[in-house]
Amino acid sequence: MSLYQFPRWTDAIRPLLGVTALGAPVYLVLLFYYGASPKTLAVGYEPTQPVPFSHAVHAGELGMDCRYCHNTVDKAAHAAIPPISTCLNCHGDGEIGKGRIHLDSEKLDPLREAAEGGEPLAWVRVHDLADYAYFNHAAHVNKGVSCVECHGRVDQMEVVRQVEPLSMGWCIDCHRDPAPHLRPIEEITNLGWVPEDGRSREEVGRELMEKYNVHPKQDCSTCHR
Amino acid sequence: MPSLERSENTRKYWRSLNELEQTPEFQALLETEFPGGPEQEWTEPSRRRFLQLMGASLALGTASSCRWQKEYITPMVDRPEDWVPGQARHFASMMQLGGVAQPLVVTSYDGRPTKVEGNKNHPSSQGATSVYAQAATLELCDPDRSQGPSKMVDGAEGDASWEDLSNFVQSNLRGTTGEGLAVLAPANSSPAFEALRARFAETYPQARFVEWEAWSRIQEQEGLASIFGGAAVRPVYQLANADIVLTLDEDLLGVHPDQLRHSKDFATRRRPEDRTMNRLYAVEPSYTLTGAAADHRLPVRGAQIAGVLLAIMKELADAHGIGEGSAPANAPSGGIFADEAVSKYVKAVAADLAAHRGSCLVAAGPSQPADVHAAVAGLNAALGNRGRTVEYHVSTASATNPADTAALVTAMNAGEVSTVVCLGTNPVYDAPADLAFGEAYAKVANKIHFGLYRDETAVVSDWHFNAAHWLESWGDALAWDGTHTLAQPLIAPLYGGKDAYAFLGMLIGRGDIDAQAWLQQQFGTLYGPDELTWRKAVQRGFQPGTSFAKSSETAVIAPAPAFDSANAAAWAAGESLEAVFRIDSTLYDGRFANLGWLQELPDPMTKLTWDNAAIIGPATAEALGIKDHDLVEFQMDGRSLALAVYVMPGQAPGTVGLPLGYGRTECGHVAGLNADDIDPVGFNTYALRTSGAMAYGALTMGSRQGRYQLVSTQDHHAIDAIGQSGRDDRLGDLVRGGTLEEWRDHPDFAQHRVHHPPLKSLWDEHEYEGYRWGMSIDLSTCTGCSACTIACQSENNIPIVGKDQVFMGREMAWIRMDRYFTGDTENPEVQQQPVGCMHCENAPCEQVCPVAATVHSSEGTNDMVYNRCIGTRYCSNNCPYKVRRFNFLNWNKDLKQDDAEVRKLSMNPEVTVRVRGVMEKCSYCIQRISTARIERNIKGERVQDGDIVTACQQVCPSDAIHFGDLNDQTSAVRLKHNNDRAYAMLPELNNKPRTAYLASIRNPHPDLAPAYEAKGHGGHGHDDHGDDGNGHAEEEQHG
Repeated sequence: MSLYQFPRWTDAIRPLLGVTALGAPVYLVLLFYYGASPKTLAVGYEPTQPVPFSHAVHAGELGMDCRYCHNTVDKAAHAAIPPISTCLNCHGDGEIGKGRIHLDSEKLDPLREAAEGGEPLAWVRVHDLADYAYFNHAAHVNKGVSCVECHGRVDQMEVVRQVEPLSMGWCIDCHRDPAPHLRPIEEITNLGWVPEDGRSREEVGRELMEKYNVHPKQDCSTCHR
Repeated sequence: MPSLERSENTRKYWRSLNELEQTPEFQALLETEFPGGPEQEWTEPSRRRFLQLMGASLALGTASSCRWQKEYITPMVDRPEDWVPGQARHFASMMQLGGVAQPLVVTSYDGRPTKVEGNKNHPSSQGATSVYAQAATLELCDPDRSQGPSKMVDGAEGDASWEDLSNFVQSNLRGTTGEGLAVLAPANSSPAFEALRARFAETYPQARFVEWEAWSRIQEQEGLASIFGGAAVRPVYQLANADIVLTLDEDLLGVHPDQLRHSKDFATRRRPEDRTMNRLYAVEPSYTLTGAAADHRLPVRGAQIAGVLLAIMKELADAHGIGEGSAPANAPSGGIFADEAVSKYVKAVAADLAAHRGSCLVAAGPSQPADVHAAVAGLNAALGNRGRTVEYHVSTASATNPADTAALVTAMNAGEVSTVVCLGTNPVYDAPADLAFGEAYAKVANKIHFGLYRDETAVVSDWHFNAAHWLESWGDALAWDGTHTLAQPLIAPLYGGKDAYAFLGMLIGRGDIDAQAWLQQQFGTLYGPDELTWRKAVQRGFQPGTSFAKSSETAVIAPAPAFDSANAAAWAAGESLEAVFRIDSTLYDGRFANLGWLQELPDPMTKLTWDNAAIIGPATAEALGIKDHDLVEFQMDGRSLALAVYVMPGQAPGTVGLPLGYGRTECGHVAGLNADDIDPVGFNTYALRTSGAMAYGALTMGSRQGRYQLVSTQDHHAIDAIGQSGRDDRLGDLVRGGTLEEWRDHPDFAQHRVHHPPLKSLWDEHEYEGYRWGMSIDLSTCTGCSACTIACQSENNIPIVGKDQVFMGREMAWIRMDRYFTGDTENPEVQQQPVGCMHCENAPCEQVCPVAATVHSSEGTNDMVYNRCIGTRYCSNNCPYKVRRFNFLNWNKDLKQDDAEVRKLSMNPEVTVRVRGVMEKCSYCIQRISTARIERNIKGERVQDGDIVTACQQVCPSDAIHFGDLNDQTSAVRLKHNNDRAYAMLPELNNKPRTAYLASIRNPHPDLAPAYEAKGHGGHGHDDHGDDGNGHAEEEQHG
């Protein structure tokens, strides 16, 4: 008969069942809420790129302007990844560029191969918005929203990683209150910019909103078409 | 007081005979949201299967990776300096149709053409395009296109290469005089091709070079040549100068090669507030767009048209003393001419023409015999119209003569031809049936086909070589007025196809002919070798000032045309019928058959999709004892064909309209493909068409052979009304129109068609400080050509669904063209009305969406958020205009297949591609609004009127659509909204639609229309009327 009975120690589990029954839904909700949030899934994404290009060196140490390479950022929706010929301006010794910098570096082999073979390099997209969201770089950059607001201190990154969730809620936060995220257009690619004479970002932002006529829209059709 | 009061001036409108008679079928359509009952009938997948899939996908979703697909960015190795990735660029180009250039501007994203628009600087398009040109991006990316050369070996298809062609030319043709060689090419007005053709004639002096087009204007050319001293002249009409227009089966606003310019010019005379209105008379057997736009249409048999012309000439000579030298001794009498309606018509036309000497126009269609064309030119001269409303230009591009092809067939049968090259033609499909082209072709030793598709001719040829699409090639051609128009490639050939220049070059042993270089060289010989001239012409898309010279022939006198008085008799049951062949308004001669957009586009008049039919008038059908959907055998000259019958109001008694271009057996997976057991779409009416009956012919009806389900969208999305008794005048509310007299007496009559109590909104109304987008559609100029529907389809990535799904009412087109009839079923008046989302101020759809997937924007548009939509369809249920479209199935699922890369190319990257379960509708081209707003915003400017041009507005040949900011008091759309003719659809619902319609105005002849009785329009008390363009209906009251 004892064969068909649960052993006595299992009685201790019974109160736990109650805890599980109450806790499981909470756990599941939290699991999906935090586990599936862009903060968890997207922030910190740091894929390996075909060429170990260091933004820290180029944009940070050497102080190159972001727009030397991403030259369409203030003119078009896309901040174009530069063609290989742009790299060769400094790293080439051929027809396109004669900079002759690090000509013997193995790290640049994929670059030279691509240039010789005519096949483009396949860079891995780090900041990947959903396909139904239509973001326009020029619309932001020309209104005083710096690169750093979405991409972080790229000038300090050896490998580019995602630092902001780029979720819709995160976008809307700024569209509702853009003032703390604005800076003078002249300083747009100065990622480490802080307001002069100790004024707050908020304060400067309010002035710039007036100056640049910044009235971000929150309509669905602003981003979704 | 009743809640709604109607003015007594309303006419009774109906969309179909079913509706007029209130048949049970129409009632069923009215009661269901989507006809065919998708609610009862799930085709795929079943509900159970759906639940299984749901379970499985949930499990998969959880297990699969937490990040979405890795994406790669592959920048160019060396980017051209002016190239901005992801930015649209626009290039002037050209498409040739029937030997006439259609000037275009093509939008290209990252090197792929996605949208075709008209070239607004070109004199013959002025920015508009036809439906055919709109579908070009789909044709370019059609996976059914021929993808390489092939060879038939013992009945089986084998691979071939372009080298084979060079080898063939080397071994068989080089060194010969071309004896036994024949080339069968389509009409081509290209001067550069002509030069190459001259080289061909030099190389092979004895070869035949024959032109073949299924639809040609040879009779017009022959008729005019007879009185213009033998020169090939071409009439170029100036409809803007014409007060009175009479067309004799001439579709000036429809399939005429110069249709776009005609429509623009015609529209300038249909807005009564701008200029004095013109009056259009149309005499024709089958409804054309011109007939639909006419103030007075006379449906007669094709063979009777010459008689009508004679009667008019006689009346003009006798009563008005015009053209006495040419007038016939006796006017036709008896038969239809004894009918009072016809004699009144003739008298009215003659009186109008006589009263408007020098500012009227008579135009005859290509179906009419040569002597009618000559007589019409003589009449125009006698009326003093030459140089004012019509100019005769000496054309260097002559019309295709079908007799040339007949002669070639005779030679083929006689064994005189050893090599036939079909250079882009498909004669096995579309040559006249009596020529039996296929049989003669089989007797030829070497059969070479060159074309875009592996068509009916390709499969019986020994060799097939794939052609490049016009979007992939250089080219040139002449517009209808002769303007030299250039084409430049937008993309390298997808399948390595060659253009006609290179192909003909290979035939003469010049494998090195490169179209670009050849074109530039030929261009140089015409206009000087200056590189800058060439580059400017390419950029502009044409060389200005190159239209044909005017004919200097002065003595233009023509005899009266022949008319067999036996044809005068009215048709009676038991007599033979008259077949009326027509090129199709959506498929042309069948060359566009594999383009799903065009197959699914309802015919502007019959509203049939995915089929053609034998189109028969109601009285004739009754006399013959046949009904809609009957499959009936028709015989013509010993040939027979079973066709489905479609009863169409306004089809002339005793005639059967037979659209050409359907029944393709070797075309593709859309139109029909024997090899893959894909049944042809529609009926191949070429099987009945003979050399002697290219346009009209005697037809007899055989036995009924059962039923065939035709699918017409005309009763789809019928807008219900409150109660049966209100139905008839209710339709009059949706589409409003009146006569010129009524408009003069009471300019805002359209706003007074419905009176309702003051409207109070339940909600606080929006305030718009910035932009307030709105649209206006002028029903007075809209011809119903449906180019807007296809432009919208191309711009907004709208899928097609297929015949079965259209039957269930699942068509996806965002703009539906409602076609209303009013009046007599045998000769009704037609009114066209494009209907898209109205972007209501108080949108009923927004109130019922449980997930806020359709919401109002701060600029007043009604936004549809696809990624929020869960597919309840409440919004569609609550939309009074029935403009929402639901993705019942995943129409785009084939885009995910591996071989779909080519199909993806035609998609507009600026618009989301929707999946199953999502509602969609007109967005007012929100992507274009955003682009314009961002561009201006960056510069710190406001959007200017004209910055935003919606796809439908851009393509409209009659300038019926305007779009812009309603807050800008000077914008075109604001002025249209302020127009007296403006009215809102269903204003009593207080939806406050942002699209205003401008009532249609007709200009009837006083003798032919019921007299207008002026009615007072006071005494409305505190009533409120329809238009509320500025969103404050309460303010506008009348006392």
